[in-house]
Amino acid sequence: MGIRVANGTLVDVWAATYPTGDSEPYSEMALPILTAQTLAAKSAQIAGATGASFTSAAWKTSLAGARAKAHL
Amino acid sequence: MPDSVVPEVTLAGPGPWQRRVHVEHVWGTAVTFDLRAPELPSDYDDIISDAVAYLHQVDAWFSTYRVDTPITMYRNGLITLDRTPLVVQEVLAACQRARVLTGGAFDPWAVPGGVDPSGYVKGWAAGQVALQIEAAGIPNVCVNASGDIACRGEQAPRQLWAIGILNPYDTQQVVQVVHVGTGAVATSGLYERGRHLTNPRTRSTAMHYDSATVVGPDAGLADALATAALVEGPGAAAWFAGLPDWSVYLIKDGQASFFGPEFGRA
Repeated sequence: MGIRVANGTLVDVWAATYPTGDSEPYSEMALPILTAQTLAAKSAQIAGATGASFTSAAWKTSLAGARAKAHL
Repeated sequence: MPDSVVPEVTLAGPGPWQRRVHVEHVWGTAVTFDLRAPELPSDYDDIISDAVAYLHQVDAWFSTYRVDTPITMYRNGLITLDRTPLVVQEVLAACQRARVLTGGAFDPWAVPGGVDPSGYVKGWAAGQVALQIEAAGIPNVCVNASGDIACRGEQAPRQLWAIGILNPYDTQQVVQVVHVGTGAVATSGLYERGRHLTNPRTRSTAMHYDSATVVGPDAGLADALATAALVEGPGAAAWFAGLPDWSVYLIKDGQASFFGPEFGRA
């Protein structure tokens, strides 16, 4: 089990269970440990945006669409 | 955050370079090419046309909504796998590797109606198109296939591509920025278009996360891993023990959790 503290608060932890099975390619490798933070919108300078996929119509009103159109 | 503070999202420009953007509506969504170079080649229009043609070719190979594609014919038992184009066989082999890597949390064979590699193909195709554009002479390119992003080169001299991860609760907002040179970023989320995701292992339709973003060198695998992490939950960390170059950003109930070199792995 891994524990991580950030900004003085306990953040995540997840049970570090190794994959089970006979072939154990990961057993020598360290499992990633999660750090957690409260989600907050941030000011950003970006070239593109990633989110769940959207329809062609929805794209037109999306942040990504607005960005692309504004700078064609 | 107080309501009065509106975080501003602005464009990371090309600096002294030239920039061209093309948006192609295909696969029921929008695919954006962002091309940047000190001087874009004069056959820029041809390069774009070829890239667009490739997107439509991907549809002709892999659309499960069309009856005349190799994938549909294979699903319907009209042809055997060895009679499908090599590219179809290669993509299915990559899907099989992703299935093994995720312990079955990514499983295109577990859907009704036969194998459906759509959860891999969109990211993979973005990667292929980025490669094609680079090979055609534009070294700096970012292909965004509706959230599945493949980049090559950089966005401006000595600046990696800056990609914002959208807030799943308000997609006008950015909650994190990742920086990639030649690499990929993929996100899966509950608000995803027309996807009725199921955990192939448990058959549950409950998603563990509200959004899962994966950053790594391979766009197809990033797409598959993002979808699989969304349904799997924290157990997904085990998949990345052997993938030190990969990073993951997960959102659930207003909390983000993350690991990997992109976010300062311990």
